[in-house]
Amino acid sequence: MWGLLDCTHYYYRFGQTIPILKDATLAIEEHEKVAVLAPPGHGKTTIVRLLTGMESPESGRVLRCPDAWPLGYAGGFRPEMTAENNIRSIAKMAGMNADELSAFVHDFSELGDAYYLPLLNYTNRMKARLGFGTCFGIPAKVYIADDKLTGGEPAFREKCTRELEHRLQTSGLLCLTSNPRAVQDVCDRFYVMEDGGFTACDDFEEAKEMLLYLLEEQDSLPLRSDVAAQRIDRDRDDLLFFDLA
Amino acid sequence: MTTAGTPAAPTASEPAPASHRPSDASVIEALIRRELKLRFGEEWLGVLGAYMMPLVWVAAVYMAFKFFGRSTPVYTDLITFIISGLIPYAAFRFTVNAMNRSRTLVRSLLIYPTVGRRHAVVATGLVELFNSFVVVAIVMGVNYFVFGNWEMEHPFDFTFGILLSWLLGAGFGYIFVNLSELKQIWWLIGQALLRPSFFISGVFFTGNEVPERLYDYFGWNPLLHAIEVTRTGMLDNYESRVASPTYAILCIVGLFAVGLGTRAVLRD
Repeated sequence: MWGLLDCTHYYYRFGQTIPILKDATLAIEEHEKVAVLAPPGHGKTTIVRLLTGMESPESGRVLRCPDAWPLGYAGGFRPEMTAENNIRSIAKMAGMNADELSAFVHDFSELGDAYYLPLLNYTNRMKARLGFGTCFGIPAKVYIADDKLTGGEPAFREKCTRELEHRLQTSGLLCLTSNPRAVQDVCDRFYVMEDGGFTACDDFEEAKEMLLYLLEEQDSLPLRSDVAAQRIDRDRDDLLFFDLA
Repeated sequence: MTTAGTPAAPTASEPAPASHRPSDASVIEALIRRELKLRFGEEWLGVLGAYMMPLVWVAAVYMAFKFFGRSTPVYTDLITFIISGLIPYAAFRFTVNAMNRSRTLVRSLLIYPTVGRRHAVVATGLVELFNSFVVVAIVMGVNYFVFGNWEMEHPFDFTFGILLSWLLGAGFGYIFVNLSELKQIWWLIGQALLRPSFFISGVFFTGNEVPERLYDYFGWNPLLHAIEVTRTGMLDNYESRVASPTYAILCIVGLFAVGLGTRAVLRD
């Protein structure tokens, strides 16, 4: 079992203290596929950082899964290094054969000769290809996704979806997202973040309704500047697809 | 709808398959390679730039000696005397800074379940030890090939002195890099505490020169002892009366004990 036990955590920004978790508990078995739905700005990324040991909570315990790898994470790459050197470096950190992982990522990411160039020359989509290729090259018991289950161009997203479906036959998943559609067919347990806690829902429909309610509630409030920025970035129709359907 | 309750007591997570659980040495090796890239980039110019800094220090201290009309207190040339103090000081100071850099090195990698802060601390420390000896080679090489000066009376003592300086820097930096996880201000406090060290650690003077009444205060500084050990090892005509390697070692043990204590409190 892994997750959060009675965790309280705050987010500090420009002198403001924003509560993310208040004595919150989220217990997950390694084989489970769990989705946590939360409106934008409710601390999804912070929770990923807590679960992966990048941050510590103010109080409570984090039960870290020793074999949980981030899905499509490109933040660990060094831009000065070539993709190949980055992958070889990560292979050593993952305890894998560098040649094998590099060959897999080269094939999966379909970057061609760009694979041998420094990442300074990469677009975001190329980094996403590399991130997903790396992630799928490392066998994990659990994948942790921060809002995205796939990345890159549509064709590559299809490829990632197929690969993820294959991997989830034997691995668990925790996906924190604002987009219920993304996790509808993938997860079998659903939570919604509200008031600094995780509310367990009986099924996807209930989680979706709760998220819609929270989004409407958020819409009626003046937006914090950071939330507003996220909203602009996001395709609103996609976010509220179920409202329009 | 139910609210997520407190689960049963957590069971120990099943370890990852052996082939996917790297050794600490493997993680440290990967981090060392990344640290070298981070520090020097892909260009040799970056490497040269990083190693030129100690030469700039030597030049600045040389000019300061000339400006104030100070001569060498030991029977040797001025540049060799300056080098004998600056080399161990640089090993100490650069290692302290490297400990802070260890946070940056793994910040984005801690998300991987196999990477911990301890790996970064060891990796940056080892890189800095290697750098210290590269600095020794460059500075002493320039002194020999450009100025024709060379002194190395006791190579073992000289190396031991550098190691003491490096360990003191690692221990001091480790404490403050841990504390700075609580509040960033701790790192700044650590830097402020270090500021006088350049002037009170025997870079500009020898321990034998310090009057007895002042030595009661200066003698508490373990870096002074490490520099004195290095200087004794390097210079042909200098034997420190005050150097105490035992005291420096005890300080190193104390610094690491405090550092490990703070780490335990912070739960790595």
